[in-house]
Amino acid sequence: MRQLILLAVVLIASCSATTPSTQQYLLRSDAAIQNTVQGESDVIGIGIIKVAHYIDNLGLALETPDGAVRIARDYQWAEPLEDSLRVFFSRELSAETGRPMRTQRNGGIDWKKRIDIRIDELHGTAKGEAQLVAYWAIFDIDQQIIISENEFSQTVALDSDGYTALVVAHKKLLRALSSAIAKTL
Amino acid sequence: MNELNPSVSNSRRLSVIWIIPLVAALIGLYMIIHTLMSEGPTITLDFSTAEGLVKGKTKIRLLNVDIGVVENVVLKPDMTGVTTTIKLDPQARPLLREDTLFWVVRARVSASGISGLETLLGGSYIEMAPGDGQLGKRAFVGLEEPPVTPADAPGLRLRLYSDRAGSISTGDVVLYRGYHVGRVESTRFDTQQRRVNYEVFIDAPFHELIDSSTRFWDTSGISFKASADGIEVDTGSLNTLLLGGVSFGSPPDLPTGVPVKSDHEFQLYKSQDEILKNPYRYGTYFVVSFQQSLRGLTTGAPVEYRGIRIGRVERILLKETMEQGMGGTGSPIPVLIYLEPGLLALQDNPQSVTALRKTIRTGVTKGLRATLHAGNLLTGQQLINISFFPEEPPAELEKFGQYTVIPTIETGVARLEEQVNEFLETLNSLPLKTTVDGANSLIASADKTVISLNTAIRSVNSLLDNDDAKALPKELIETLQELRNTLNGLSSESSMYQNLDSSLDTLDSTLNNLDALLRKLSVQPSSLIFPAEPEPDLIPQAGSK
Repeated sequence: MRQLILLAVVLIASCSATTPSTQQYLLRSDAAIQNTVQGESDVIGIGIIKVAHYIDNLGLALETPDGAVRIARDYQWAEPLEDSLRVFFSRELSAETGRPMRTQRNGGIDWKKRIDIRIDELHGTAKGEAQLVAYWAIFDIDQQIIISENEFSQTVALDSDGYTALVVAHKKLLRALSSAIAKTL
Repeated sequence: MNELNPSVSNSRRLSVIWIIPLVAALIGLYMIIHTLMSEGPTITLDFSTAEGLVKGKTKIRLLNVDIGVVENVVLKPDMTGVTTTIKLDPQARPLLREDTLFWVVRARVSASGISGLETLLGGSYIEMAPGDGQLGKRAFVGLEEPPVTPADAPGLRLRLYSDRAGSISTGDVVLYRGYHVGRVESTRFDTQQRRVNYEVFIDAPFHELIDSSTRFWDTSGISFKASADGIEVDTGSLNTLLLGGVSFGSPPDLPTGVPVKSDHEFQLYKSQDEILKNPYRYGTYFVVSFQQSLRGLTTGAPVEYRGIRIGRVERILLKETMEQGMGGTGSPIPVLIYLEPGLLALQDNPQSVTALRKTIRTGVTKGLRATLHAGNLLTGQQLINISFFPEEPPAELEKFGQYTVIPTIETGVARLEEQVNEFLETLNSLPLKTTVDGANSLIASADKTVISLNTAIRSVNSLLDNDDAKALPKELIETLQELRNTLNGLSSESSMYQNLDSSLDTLDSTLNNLDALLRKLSVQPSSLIFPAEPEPDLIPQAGSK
C-alpha cells in the first residue's frame, strides 16, 4: 500500500511540474497593399508551396556549432509554414506587382501563370546568421510549359541574440525571395 | 805649293725661285675649280620657234623665281626649229631630270581663255616644271603649249577613244554630274585604228569615282529629242556648250566595277542616251540559223531568254552565206546575235563573257534552243527567244565561220501544226468506247444509290416527326446541365475540393508528426511514460562563431 501511495505521489508530482512557456511567432508580411483589379485577364497565382521536411513543423530550426540541426521546442511558428508562407508570399508579391495574387493550391481555370515554390533551407546558422535556400518555377498554364526555373540562396546576419532576431532575419530573407520572384514574372 | 782646285758638285738642286710660279699655278687651278664648282649647269632647249626668246634677257623661272637666263638662240641645222642654250643657277642642278618640262610663257588667247598677260610688259619667259625621273639630263625639248596638269598633280590619268572627234579639244573640262573634276589633256587621231584618242586627267579625290563600270560621254553642244512627250533640249553647262566637255557616270542597274589604274582605256560615247541604250561593254557573238521567214527580224531586235532581254540582233549574215557557197541551197539563214552578260545581272567583264559562253555550251546539251517569235503582232516585228526544250535531243555547238552556232527549233505556225498533229494522234489512240461504256455503267449504279438514299432519308424524316424523338433533345440538354453542375462541385475551385485538399494536408502533417513520435518510441519506448527532461532550447547568437 505504501508503494502505491509513493507511486501516486511521484506521478502527481511529475504531472504538476511546471510546463515551460512557449513563444510563438506569426509569419506575416509587413507590406502594405491596396490593389483593385477588375476583369483581370493575365491571372497569376501561387500554386504549390513545399517546405523541406526538417522545417515542416512548428519549431524554429537552428544549426548547432557541431553541424546538427535543433528544432526549438519553446520557440515556434504560430501556424504551419506552408500556410503562413502562402499568405506571406501573396502579400509580398501583390505589393511588388501591384495586383492581387491568387492563392488556390492547385490553381484556377482562369490562371495564366502559376508560381510553385520550394523552401529547401530556412534556419539559423551557427555563425549567427539566418539562411534561406529556395527554388521556384513559373508555369504557363495554357501551354503547359515551364517558363522559367530559378534558385535563391542568401544569408542574413542576426541583429541580436535570440529567436526574435532569427524570425526578423527569416522575414528579411523571405522578402528578398519575394522580390526575386516578382522580377521573373 | 798649294793649288786652288774648284769643287765641282754633280747634284742638281731646284732653285727656290721656282716656288713662285708653282704657287701661281696652284692658285690658278683652285680658281678654275672654284669657278667650275660655283657655276650652274648649261642646258639646251629646242623649240619650234624663237618667238619671245631674247638672248641674254629671257629668264628661266620656277615658281616665279629666276633660276637662269637664255645665253644663246640658234637655228637648228635642219631649220625645223631653234635651239636655245640656257645657263642655270647652281641650285637648279638637282631639278634637271629626265621628265622635267619647259615651255614658253607668253600671252595666249584661246577658246579656253586668255593667259600670260603679264608677259606683255615683262617679256616672255621660260617656265620649268621639275620632274622626278633620272638626274643628269642636259638636252630638252620644250613644250609648245603649257601642260594642262602639273606632272605631280594627284589624280588619275585615263585614255578615251571615240570614232569621231566631236568638239572636244585640249583643256576642255571633265564633269561629274555637272561638277568640274578634271580636264582633257590632249587629243590625237590614231591613223592605225582610225579613231580619236583623248588623254584626260581626273583630279583627286574625284578619281575615286572612276571604276571599270564608269562610262564617258561627250557633253558638247545641244541635244534635241522629239518624242510623244514633246521636244526635249539637253545642254551641259555654258562652258561645255561653248567649248565642249566630257562627262562620266555609271549607268543605273550596272553592278559596281573594280578600281582602275592610270592609263586605263574607256570608250567615249556620243551621248548619255547611247550609254543607256547599251550600257554594257562586254558581250559575245553567236549565230542562230532559221529555216523560217525572217520577215520583221531587224538589226537591233531583242534576243530574250524566257522573256528577259539578254542581247540584240546584230545583222543577218547573208553575205557570209553567199561566200560559203550556201546560196541557192535552201539552207537556213544565219543571224548574228550579240549577247551581253550584264543583262543577265552578271559582272560586265571578260570573265562573265567566258562564263556565259560556257553556260550556253552546257545548256545546248540539255535542250537550250533558239526560236523565232512574233514580237509585235501589229507591226510584224520578230524577236529571238532562247529557252530550254527538255524534250529536244542533246545537240552540240557548231561553227559558222568564227561564230558559235546555237541550235534552233521551229515555232509559230509550223510548230503549232506539228503539235496539233501530235494531239490528234494521241486523241485517236484513246480507248473512248471502253471509257464511255464504263461511264454508262457507273451512272446506272449511281441511280440505284440515289434511290436507296432517298428511301433512307424518308425513314429518318418519319422518325424525327415522332413526338418522342422531338422530346429527346430537351431531356438530353437537361441531363447535360445536371452533369455539369455535379462536375462543378468537384472542380478544383469548388469548396468541397478545397476542404478535401486541406483535410488531406492536415492528415499528412499529422502522419508526419506521428512518424516522428513512433521513431522516438522505437529508440526509447519508456519515453511515453517517463518523458526525458527536455534540454533547453539553444538560443541563436548574433555573430557567434
